[in-house]
Amino acid sequence: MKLKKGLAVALTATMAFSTLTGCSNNGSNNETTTNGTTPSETTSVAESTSATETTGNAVVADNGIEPCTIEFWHAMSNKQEEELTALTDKFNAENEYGITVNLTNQGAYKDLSSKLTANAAADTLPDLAQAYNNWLSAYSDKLVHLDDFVANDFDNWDDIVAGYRDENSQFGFISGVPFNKSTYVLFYNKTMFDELGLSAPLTWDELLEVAKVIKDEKGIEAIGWDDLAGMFQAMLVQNGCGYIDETGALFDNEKGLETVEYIMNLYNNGYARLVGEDKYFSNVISNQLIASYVGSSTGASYITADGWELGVAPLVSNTEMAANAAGTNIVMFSQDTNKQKAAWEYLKFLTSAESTTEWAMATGYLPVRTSAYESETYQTFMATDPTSVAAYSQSAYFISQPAFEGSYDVMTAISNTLEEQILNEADAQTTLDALVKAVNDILQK
Amino acid sequence: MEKKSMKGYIYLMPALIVILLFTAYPLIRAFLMSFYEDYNMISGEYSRIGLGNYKDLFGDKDFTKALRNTSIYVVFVVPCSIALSLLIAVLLNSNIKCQGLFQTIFFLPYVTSVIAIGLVWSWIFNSNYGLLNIILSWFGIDKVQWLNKPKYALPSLIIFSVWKSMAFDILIFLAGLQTIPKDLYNASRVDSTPRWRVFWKITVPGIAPMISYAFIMGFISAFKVYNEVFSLWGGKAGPANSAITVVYYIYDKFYNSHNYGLASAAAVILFLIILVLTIVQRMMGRKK
Amino acid sequence: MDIRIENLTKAYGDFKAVDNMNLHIADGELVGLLGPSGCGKSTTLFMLAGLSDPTSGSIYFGDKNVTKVAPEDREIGLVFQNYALYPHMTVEENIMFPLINRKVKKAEARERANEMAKLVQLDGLMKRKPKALSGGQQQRVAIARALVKKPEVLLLDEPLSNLDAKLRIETREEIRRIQQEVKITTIFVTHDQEEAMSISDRIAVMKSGIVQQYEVPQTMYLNPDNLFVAQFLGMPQVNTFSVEVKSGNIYCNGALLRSGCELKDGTYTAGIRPESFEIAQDGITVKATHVRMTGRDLLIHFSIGDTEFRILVHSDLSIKEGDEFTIRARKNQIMIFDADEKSLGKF
Repeated sequence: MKLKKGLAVALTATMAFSTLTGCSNNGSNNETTTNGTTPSETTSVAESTSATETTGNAVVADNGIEPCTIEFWHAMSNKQEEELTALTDKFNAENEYGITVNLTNQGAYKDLSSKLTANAAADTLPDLAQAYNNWLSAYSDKLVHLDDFVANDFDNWDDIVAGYRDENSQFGFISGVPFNKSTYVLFYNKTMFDELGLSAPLTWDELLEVAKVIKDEKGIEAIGWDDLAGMFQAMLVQNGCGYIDETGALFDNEKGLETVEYIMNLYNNGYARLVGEDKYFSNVISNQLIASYVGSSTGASYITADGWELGVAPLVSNTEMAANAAGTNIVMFSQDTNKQKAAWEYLKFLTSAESTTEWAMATGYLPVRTSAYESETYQTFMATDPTSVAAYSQSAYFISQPAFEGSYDVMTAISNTLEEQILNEADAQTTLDALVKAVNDILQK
Repeated sequence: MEKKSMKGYIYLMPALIVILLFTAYPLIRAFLMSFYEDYNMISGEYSRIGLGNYKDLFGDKDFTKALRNTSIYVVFVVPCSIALSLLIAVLLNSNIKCQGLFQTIFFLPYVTSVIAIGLVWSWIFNSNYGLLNIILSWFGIDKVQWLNKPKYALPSLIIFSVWKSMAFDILIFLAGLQTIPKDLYNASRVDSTPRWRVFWKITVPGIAPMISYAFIMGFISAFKVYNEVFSLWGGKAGPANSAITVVYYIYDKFYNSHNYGLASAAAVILFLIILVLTIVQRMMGRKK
Repeated sequence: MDIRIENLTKAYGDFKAVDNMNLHIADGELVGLLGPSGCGKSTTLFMLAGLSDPTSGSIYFGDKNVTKVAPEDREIGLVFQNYALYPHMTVEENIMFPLINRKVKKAEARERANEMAKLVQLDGLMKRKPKALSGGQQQRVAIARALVKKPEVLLLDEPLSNLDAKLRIETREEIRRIQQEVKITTIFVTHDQEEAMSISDRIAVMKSGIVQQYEVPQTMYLNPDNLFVAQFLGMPQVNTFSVEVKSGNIYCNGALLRSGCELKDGTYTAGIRPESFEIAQDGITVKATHVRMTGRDLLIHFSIGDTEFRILVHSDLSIKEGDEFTIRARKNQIMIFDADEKSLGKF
């Protein structure tokens, strides 16, 4: 009888734990099988066109890179994956070193992040991977520092958009190159605005005015944010206030209170609403139940403008301008010198003006270089694409999510706290105190 | 005799290895990890071994919320779904027309993906054009913000889960009802037994083992609730985390916050709770 | 309470399980419904109980037409073939159950239950659960439960078929004893003719939904109305064979069995029970083809022509296989049946 009971206990234990173990079952995902290293056709340097480097090739010629295969893990899907594959195929065909880049789709961002974490533990990271900085803090020591490459073997690092350069230096060294970047823009119902004689708001005050008119005339909310933490961060910066750093909250001051006051004002007066059960504001605006919302520039394709015209504007500003930048960078993990050089060739290719322009136009992401924005090709494209126009107009003011340890927890805590306070229709001081507490509880442990 | 038992072990070996590797080992690891403070799973470093994670756990408002939510959830979902399932099974067992059709309808939730069900229910619960609010409006009740307001989060989750777990319970109760000899019901008719007494004195004792099974399994799986939360709110745990459950907490701490020690500690607590509950239930069952 | 069954029919589509049955059972009688499987006896019983609705016809308990009355209101007690005891209640609770349902106070119910238990000799078993009882004991609980509410009619469905041979004999005597003591009108269903014959006041033999004969057992045995009844009653079975009648003489394959009968010439089916043959000086000489001893009797097989017969004699007689002996049919023991298998009398 005792044995039976013991067995029952053990079985119960097994059942109870199967949740946790079910999750950690992914184990170490070994690298996907590499297709045999077939050196691609070598084309003479002179004939190969835009794919490889054009200017500043003194260093290139005698790099002495041997043919090899580079593993690149990504999380792109559909159109974006198609475009990435097309670009990569082009590189594989045209590079003079016989480098083959092997793409592996690891699923969605969550999956890619988990796989990287797991492989970091097993020391089986790929050569290159897409990554958000705040995934990397736990294993940032495995990142290859790219400073030397940038200094010696890159045409013009300053041509990379400033916000992206800053983001890729968050660890104190150059950790990666920007890749699929987007930004938050203001999508609005142009038809409704025109009808009410309104134009897209550019400042905090203008937003308040617009919101009042919309509420009075249409009875719906004027604006919403998919990402509450992002909203908070941007507004703090727009008000000239600090956000957070490793030591804790930087907004426990007058300017912080002002910002929170403005935010709670919007929500408590019914000018702004939470996304709630509708999950994404693209749904809400498509049903014309909200006049505008702030969301990622890549979200434009999810909006169905049926019987109304979609307008896109940059984010509002107060004393400063600030716009959230989103999207990953490509980071390098290879320990092998030859592979590092080979991988760098690929990165140069991807971030070249031509590649980034083609990428942006095909996928709806943003070019990573200023020269790409100003190129004729892209300017022509922008004439037909209001989203990119809005993005470009705020490209000098990009801000990125913080990436130090605990930053993910902090952003989640901020979003949850804001949501809770908004649901409670709290006042500004209560909200500010709650936010400060939430942040400091995590960072000052 | 010796040869025979060796063969038995060899046949068992593959399954045993799998269980040991993928269940027993992670189990032990998780238990150990719960005592590693500031554990970095990638480097394998931890600051010290101690009860720090447990202290953090019980100091974490989210965890106490998760415990509370999960307990309320279990207390409501399990008895409600079993009671309703029993009633429906009894109805299905009586001679109604199209019995097969009804059985299929009631069993559908079990074979449908929980994500798909969650999508449909998030539409049903939608405050503006959801089915539930439309029906309520016929009775003059105002729009309820089922999925938007924290105070309705748990009720929505409970309604959804009761509906979902009925399928399996109905099935096993139906099977059990079929084993009750028809003559018992005839005898009860001759004995002028009122319907409710037939139910309590004949039907329920007849399927008592099934009911007990449903309770134990129900409690265990209700404590592990996660899929339902995920699918109802598309990955979030309700507005302002109002529907956070223990497993959701574990998952979030492990995969999003990378706080492996804390997540393991939470998992150990969950394990202990379920263990105690199950032992108590089995003891109660044995008494009868 | 007497029972009147009038033109009772139960049809399933074209198939008639019970076909226009008419029967009258006097108050206090113990009547057996006897017949092979599928003859409609259980169907009749269930219609009497109210658990099954007749297609047409009526049932009267006394003066009351109970055809449309629900079982719980018919004042009947029913003992099922498998006893149908409530498995999760004790014997005492099982017996009390019908009383509790009729709103009798618990104390009184318990008293009456115990009284009934004494009647069926169940003392000392009251606190047991059914699965801890033997078959015979379970049956007595079923009877007690059926009788505790003092019904007007007691119905039993094959009450003895689940018991072993010795218990069967004991229990049927019990049933008879209880029935006599309580003086309740009782109908029981069985396929065992010996059982029916031994305890019934009257037997109704059924075949294919129709009552073949309704009579006191002994009379039915000696004077069956038709071939079916003749064959159904009696163990070993009656000898049936075809005979030729010429000028009042009955011949079987040329052998003269009886003379001086008032019968028209022709071919008939005849029946003689094995015990209705006797060894005699004058008669037909036959040879024993097979001899079987069953304790008290000898069953001897012989043939007249190509027809086989069996004769039952006392085992004292020393006849062995192959022996020759002379037999004749006892007086007035040859049953003659016409072409419709109806009895024309005994000769």
